[in-house]
Amino acid sequence: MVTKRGNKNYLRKGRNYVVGEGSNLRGKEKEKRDKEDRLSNLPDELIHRILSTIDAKSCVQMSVLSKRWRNLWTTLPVLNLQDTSFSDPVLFESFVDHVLSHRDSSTNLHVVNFESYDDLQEGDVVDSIIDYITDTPTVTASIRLLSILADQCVVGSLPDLSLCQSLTTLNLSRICAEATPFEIVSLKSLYLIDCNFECGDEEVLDLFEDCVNLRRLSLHNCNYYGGFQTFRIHAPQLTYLSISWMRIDEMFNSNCDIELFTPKLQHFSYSDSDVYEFSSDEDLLSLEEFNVDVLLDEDTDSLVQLIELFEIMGSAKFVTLSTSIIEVMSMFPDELDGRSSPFTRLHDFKLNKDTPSSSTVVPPKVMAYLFGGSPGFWFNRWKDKNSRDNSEGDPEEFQEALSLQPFFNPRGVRNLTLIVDLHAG
Amino acid sequence: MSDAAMEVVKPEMKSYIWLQTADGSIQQVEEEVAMFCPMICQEVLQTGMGFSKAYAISLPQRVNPAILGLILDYCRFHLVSGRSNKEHKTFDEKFIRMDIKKLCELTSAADSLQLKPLVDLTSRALARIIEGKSPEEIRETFHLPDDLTEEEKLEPLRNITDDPHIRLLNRLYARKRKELKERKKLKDVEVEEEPKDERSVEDLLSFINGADGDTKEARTNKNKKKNRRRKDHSKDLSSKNAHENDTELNPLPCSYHNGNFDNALEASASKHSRMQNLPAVNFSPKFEFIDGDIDDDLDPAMKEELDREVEDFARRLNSDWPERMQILSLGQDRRLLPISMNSNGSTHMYTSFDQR
Repeated sequence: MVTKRGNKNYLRKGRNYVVGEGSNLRGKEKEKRDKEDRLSNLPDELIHRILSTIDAKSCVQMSVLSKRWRNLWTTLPVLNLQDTSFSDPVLFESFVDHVLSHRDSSTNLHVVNFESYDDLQEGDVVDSIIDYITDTPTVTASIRLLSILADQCVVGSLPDLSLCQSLTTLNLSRICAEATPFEIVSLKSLYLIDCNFECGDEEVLDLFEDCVNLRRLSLHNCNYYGGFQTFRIHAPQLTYLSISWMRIDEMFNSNCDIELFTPKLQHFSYSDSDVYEFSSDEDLLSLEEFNVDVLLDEDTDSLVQLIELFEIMGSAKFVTLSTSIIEVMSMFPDELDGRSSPFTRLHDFKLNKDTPSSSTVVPPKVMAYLFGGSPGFWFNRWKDKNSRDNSEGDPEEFQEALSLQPFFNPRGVRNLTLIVDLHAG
Repeated sequence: MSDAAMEVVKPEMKSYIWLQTADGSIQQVEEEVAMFCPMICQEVLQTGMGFSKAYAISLPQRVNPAILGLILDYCRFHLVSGRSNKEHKTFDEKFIRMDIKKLCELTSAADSLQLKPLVDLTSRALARIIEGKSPEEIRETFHLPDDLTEEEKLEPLRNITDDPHIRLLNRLYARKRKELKERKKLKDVEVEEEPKDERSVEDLLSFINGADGDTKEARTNKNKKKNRRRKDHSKDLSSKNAHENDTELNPLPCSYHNGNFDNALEASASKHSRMQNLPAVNFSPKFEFIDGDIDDDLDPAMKEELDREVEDFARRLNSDWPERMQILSLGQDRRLLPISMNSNGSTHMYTSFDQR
């Protein structure tokens, strides 16, 4: 493969071309040209970008490649510290310490990805990383994304992260920590997954109030040891909220309520086996998406909680519900009596099914309750994504159902579809 | 100058930009395609050039005509709106299939034209090529010069002070550093100098007890030490509890992995793949002892040596952390130039603008 590199090479090539022996000489010439370092043209910044998806151990090992590569790892702006390539957690800890202490502390560090599935002997390696971040001024000012997955590791230095002025994304998985409020002003995204938090005795737990710029919050499968009655999510800029499998003292505590102060919320997802009591002082007028995936008990308590949640999330345009909700609603239609439809501007509605089965029948009363409040929501098609035959819904039946709804006002011909979606767990 | 050329005479007539590559050849490219490259766009808008052959935009040196062709193909596809993500991805996957030499050139050229999406694509492709390879393979693939001495290769991470036991002691170093930092009292008596220092601080405290300023730091350090100790104590307990309860606690099967959160940042750090076992340099020997018993399992001869080494460390560790960093970096062969990551970081790497 010859590329134009100016006239010089062409001439040289022509000169060396001799029939018979030519292939050898030409080969040598080509070989010589091909021996150029292909990466020499790439500035360090680009090499760093390439290495940003490779784990730190490999990056450090690349210091044997050539002179240029010898110290390249010391200025990496992205550190992927994973224990998967270490046979021994002790080696891994030692490695982490080595990398941090030999790193050029005057260069920016933007991303730290730490993943440890092994039992960390000392449990301090995470704290030592946070210490490094907060003790090294260049790093404190430049860190943007911190992701820590440390199985059962107790992390004590989380509060120190408030010193980081540029930290926008924090992802904590499987750690154990004290439930101190996150005071990171620059934080935009916070993901807490599989974590255990030790809370005090306070009645109201508010962890996010000081993250004034928080946009996205995801709480998945977190466990809070404590006696609080109210879990407050105070985040005036929040647009995305996802809560799933929240546990208090390892149980679903139905006495606990979740207070939302999230006036700008656009997306809300909830997934669990039961429904907490939600409350919100203000209407969530910006809400676009509302997803609920619960396997409801066949009793009215959870259903009532759910209906209250619907009231809060009434402005949603795109609603997805799990089929068990429809089933339980169908079982206790009396609960829907006297209640006007919570959704006022429904645009799209989906049902999530865990297993492929015959399409769910939505009784008229439930339909009226769900769709009656949205002017212009017109029942178009009932489509089962994974089945061949598309059974057409009966428009007359729908009309009849809607007429039960006191507030239904059929106007406009906005074509909206009712889709049955197969949800892959 | 070029206003006439800018006017669209007929609806079907396109506007063209003239581009000149380093070898002198000039070609014309549809305006929308050319403007897809930020560097070209910037040039056109700032200088007003590019609308005639005589005033062609000079492209950076790293862009040769063949590579330019590839880049323009990429632009041509991606500027069309309305395509699904899948279509874009499929195109990218096919597009990136080329020999490594070309891939490197493409990366370099895309970088000089500031075409970020293409830089990301090619960088990731190069990363996939690099990882999983041994150093020899990498050197071969990219024709890197094998210019390090054998010794340099064997000890890539050797401490500058050339301490032969550096690796073995790294763990001790880590623990001791933290302990000394917090002025925590050590259980082991091996580090003889440390208690002396401790006492002197406490002596100081007793002398100037109650006075502000000087003692504040010492006092807060002491408080910190107390808190840490308490915390460590409870930490040990809770971690023990965690172990005991491990079988009882049933974490729900969902395991949200890193891919869950958004790629707001350039480094799509969530999607790195796991490293295979690299047969390359092993810079840490296998430790055969466990944490708490670390000192007991070593044979006495080693222990003596360790004592001496740790003393050496202790002396070093007594200085402050930033000073310590300086000590470590003193005498380093190479002065590392800080690489600043500002948004214009890429521009001052090129000499292309000198061509104007």
